[in-house]
Amino acid sequence: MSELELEVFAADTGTAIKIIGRIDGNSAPVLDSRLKELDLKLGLPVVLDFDDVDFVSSAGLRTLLVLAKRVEAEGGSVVIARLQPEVDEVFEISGFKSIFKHYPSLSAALTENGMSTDLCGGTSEEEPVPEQEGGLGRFVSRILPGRSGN
Amino acid sequence: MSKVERLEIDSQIENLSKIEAWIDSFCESHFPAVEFRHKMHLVVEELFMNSVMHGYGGVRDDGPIWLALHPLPEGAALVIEDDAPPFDVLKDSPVPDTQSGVEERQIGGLGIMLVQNMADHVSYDYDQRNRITTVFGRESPLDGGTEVDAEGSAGAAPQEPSPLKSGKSRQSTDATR
Repeated sequence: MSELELEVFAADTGTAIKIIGRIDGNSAPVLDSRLKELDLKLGLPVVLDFDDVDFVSSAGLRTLLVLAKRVEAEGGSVVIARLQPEVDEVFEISGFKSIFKHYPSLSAALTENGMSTDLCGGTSEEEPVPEQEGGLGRFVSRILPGRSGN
Repeated sequence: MSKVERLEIDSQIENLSKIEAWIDSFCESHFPAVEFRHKMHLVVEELFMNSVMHGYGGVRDDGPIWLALHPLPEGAALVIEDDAPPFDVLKDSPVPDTQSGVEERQIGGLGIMLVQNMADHVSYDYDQRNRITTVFGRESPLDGGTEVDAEGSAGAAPQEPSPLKSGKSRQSTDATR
């Protein structure tokens, strides 16, 4: 189903958000409002991990653009990691690869933007390690579609 | 086996999941290789959302939307129709901005641009309904200018395996106008 899930990892150096599911006309407005509710540090990088996103439509692109406008207005940046081939094609066609820094690996997306790879508890091999000085927070929120259109 | 599949649905965003399931079911029986599946999902979503948000203005939740999937020898045709005021999405949609930086970037028109990139053929015509015909997997779908029969009438599906190829679909509006 088109349930969308977010895992948010926050640190002093930025925020990483793993998105799981499809970002379509149904879920995009909910993602939009969920992202607005997050206490993002807007002046810092926001890394979006797309490893588990297999579908993005123009409604999803709109949501990403809204986020990027908000983050960049405060001097931060939105960074994309691990686009799957089909989603990559959508980004390419729509010119979104020219407005987001994007990386094939999550660790590169994190380290090249001044964030620790520990932020997401290790990118694949390692177990999540909730270590860290300075308040590494983690929470998971689930987003259900269908709330958008009331 | 090569039957035209039809779905009539109201203009509610929540119906997207029904459409997705409908596309999947069609693809499973016709394209086990999932060759076109992602493209069809994207195209149908963009066109459906366009009808809901623009055609019916995002305010009407009972606007009828008719969908039809026609199996073709080398692909499929997807036809979507709505009852909204005539609007040629191919000619009159805003030209998408794919160049500007984040601050100035507008997103209008991107959906239709994605449709045009993902489908091998897209055409619009109007005959009491807005009708958008998209074809996947064939470069030149309408040999001789045949059109897809997208009338929703029950049992009207022609027996031919390919309504596009046969050249004798009934009653026609010029799909490539």
